[in-house]
Amino acid sequence: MKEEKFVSKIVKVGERGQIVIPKAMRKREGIKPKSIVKIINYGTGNIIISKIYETKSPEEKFLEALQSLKIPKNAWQIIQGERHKER
Amino acid sequence: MKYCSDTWFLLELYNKSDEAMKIFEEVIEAKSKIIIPTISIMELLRIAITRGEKLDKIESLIKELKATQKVQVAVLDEQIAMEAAKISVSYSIPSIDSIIAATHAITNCDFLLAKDNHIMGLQKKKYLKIKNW
Repeated sequence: MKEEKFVSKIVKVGERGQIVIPKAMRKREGIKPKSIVKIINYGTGNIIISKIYETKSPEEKFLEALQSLKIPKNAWQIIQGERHKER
Repeated sequence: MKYCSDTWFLLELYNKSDEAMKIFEEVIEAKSKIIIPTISIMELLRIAITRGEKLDKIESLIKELKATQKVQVAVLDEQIAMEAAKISVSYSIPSIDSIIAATHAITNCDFLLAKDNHIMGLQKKKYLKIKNW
């Protein structure tokens, strides 16, 4: 069966203004707990929720590459031993 | 804040220590900058290569490092070499330690992230300020 492009659901607003994005929509858009969304209010009774695609900064990518290396637990002891051989 | 990183700090980042990650958060938020001496990169890579790390992973780390603006490698140039030679002779410390301390001084960093006994001795002599845990 062909997937519908536009889907709408009616949800109830909670005491403190919370709403739940229906499960099927979260799954379709890849929205997980702690995902960040943007809420836009057009002031005409329309509020749009848009998913924000998070991109990693170059610094985060560097950290990821560093933490993926194969490094032994006693690396610092090995390095100190190497450094002070000259003495 | 501008930090100079000894190899020890890179290993702390590798081990995801809370203190190291907190400093790196400052870097991600553009509140701080980290300078890494080339010799520290060499020491880190040497350990990884000895452990059998694939060359493409090593190259990938270098590529990511080149792309960062807030984490920079300080090349061992004539100025750093001269300062390192002076420190090594004056305070009687090994070459690598003196290169790291000289990189900190020449690049005007606020703190050196280090835990090496020789480098820590330089703090007592008021040559530099160290941050560690």
